[in-house]
Amino acid sequence: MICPSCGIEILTENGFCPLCGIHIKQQTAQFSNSAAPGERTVACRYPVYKEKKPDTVKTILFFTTCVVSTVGLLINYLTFTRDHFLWSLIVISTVFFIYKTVFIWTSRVYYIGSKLFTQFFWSAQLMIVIDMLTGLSFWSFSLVIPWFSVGITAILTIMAVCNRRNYQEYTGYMTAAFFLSVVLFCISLFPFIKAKWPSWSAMLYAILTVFALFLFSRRQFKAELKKRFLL
Amino acid sequence: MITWYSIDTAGKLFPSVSGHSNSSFFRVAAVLNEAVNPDIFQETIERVRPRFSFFFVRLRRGTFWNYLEENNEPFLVQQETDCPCTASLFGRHDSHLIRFLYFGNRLSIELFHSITDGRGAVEFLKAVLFFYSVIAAEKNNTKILPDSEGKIVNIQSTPVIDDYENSFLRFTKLTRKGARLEIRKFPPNSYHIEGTTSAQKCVSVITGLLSSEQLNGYAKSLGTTVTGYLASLLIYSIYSTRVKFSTGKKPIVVSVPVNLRRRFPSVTFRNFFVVVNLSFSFNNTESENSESLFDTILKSISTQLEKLTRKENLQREIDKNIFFDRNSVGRWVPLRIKHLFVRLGFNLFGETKRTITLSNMSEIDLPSGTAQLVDHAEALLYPSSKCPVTCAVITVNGVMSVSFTKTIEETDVIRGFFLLLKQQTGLQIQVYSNTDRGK
Repeated sequence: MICPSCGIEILTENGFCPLCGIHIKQQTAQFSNSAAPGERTVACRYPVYKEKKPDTVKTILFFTTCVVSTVGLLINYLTFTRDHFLWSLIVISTVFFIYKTVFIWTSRVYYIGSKLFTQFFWSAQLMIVIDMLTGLSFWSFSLVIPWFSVGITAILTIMAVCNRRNYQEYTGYMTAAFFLSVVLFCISLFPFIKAKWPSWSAMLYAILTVFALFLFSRRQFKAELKKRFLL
Repeated sequence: MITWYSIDTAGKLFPSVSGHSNSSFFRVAAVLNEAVNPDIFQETIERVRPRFSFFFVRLRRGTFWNYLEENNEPFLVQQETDCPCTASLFGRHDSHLIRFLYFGNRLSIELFHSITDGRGAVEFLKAVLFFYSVIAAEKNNTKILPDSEGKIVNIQSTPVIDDYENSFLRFTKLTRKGARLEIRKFPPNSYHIEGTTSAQKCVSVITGLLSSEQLNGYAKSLGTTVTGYLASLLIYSIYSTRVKFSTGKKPIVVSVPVNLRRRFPSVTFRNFFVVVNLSFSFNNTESENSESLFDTILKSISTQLEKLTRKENLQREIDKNIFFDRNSVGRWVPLRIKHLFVRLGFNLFGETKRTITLSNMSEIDLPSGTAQLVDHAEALLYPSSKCPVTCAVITVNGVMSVSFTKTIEETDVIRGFFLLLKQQTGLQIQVYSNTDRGK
């Protein structure tokens, strides 16, 4: 078919010109290429694409999170002169923590190691906010976060042992967990951290885990480090 | 032990900048003279996989760099159901950087740009088509002529390091010590095609088929190449449909990827290309009539293309790429932070400096037995939010296909391009699209 508006031959089955959008009347066309016009039109056919459905559950969850946060913030603002306490920040952190948790564990994007680490950072953030708003005694840094770090290393170790097929993947994450405990160890050296033993225990546990990795699978472990750091 | 590959110098950019609005997946496809048989297609993939094992990988995040890791999951051919060049989820075991799709007569391969460039993809498509035709002939108890001219990669051989080497490192003249980059004045921001975002959020394709021989002849008669001619035509159609009516006249910039293998002896299947920007400014052209204006554009673009694709300029581009790759500060920046800076740099110095991309993947030279199977080929580039229209050209069996991909509803630039092409060359053009009205 030749589009009367464009003067160009259109290989279309539905009769619309893709260039100008008008419906073309059936016309006889001269074809010079090897394939017959009808054949080429059929050959060039594309599928009808499946429509992407929006993720309604996540949208509702996000909307609910926003509603709870803003309502909490408003009530807190209106009652602040009576309470003198920013409890709404704890509410906001908690609802966003719940939202992120649902998002992380239902998402198809992350590997399990990434999920654990993302969950760790969101949990740590929640603990820090609660700690800050309840007197800032640094219990989040000295007690809770180091144990989270131990928990991650332990889960990754168990998974690496149970799932040998993806051993290399867990090795990388365990190395990352090691660096995380190094950071926590460094933080524990500051004088405002009273209880140092959890961070130091986490550090020791991470060192022993990495040492075990090195001892039991030296070649794989070295290869993994080379790969991760492009050494 | 799982094999892994570091990403080549050019390919390092794509994991940082890819997303839903810029998938970094491009497509090479062949429209056959018969319906694609999925079983034969799958068997073909299994047969070529060992030779092209460096394509069957997944993208992994390291501490400072991304890398490619061998993917032992099955790579299944799938019936095409999604829009072309859609973004992929990378953080999964089954997230592939290469997709094998079929629908009716169309056999498509979509590749993430970190694993290869247009030339590598075309070589891979050639191998797939050849072995597809061989297996199809075997099933029909007929014989197909072997590839006596050596046009296809020998799949009996094993991959060698040259196949996946980072050729930028091999051909750079930049020494490790005292490397300096010649900082030139940054070009001004270019004109950007704007429009209504497609309602389905789907990449629309409009393809035009024409005779490559006739177009080559016409371009030669004008004293230019096909790429030079098409780039000029693109600039003129953008000008006549858009820029002419706007007040501020920013330059129209056509980005053209240049295959470096033609100037530097490399056989790598990894990325080995640089992008040259062909620019034309319309500040002093009001008085010119349309014919003389087109001639001015053509002359300017042909000169720029000739100058920018000289070996010394390409060498400079290779060194520039390597300079950023070897940057000692950037080397030790954690990947997540690096991603942010790379994305920012890409938007500021890449996306804002180009109007449209034109990639000429040249001719697919198939063995005669296989060529009979193929009607024509298609190459599709991924559009982005700043550059919502792209153009790719590929030729097989003397049929050149010029494919535009777009994420906007408007078709004025593309229509202007095809009308002008027909008007100037007098060639017969056949146009088709993947959407109802091309919109």
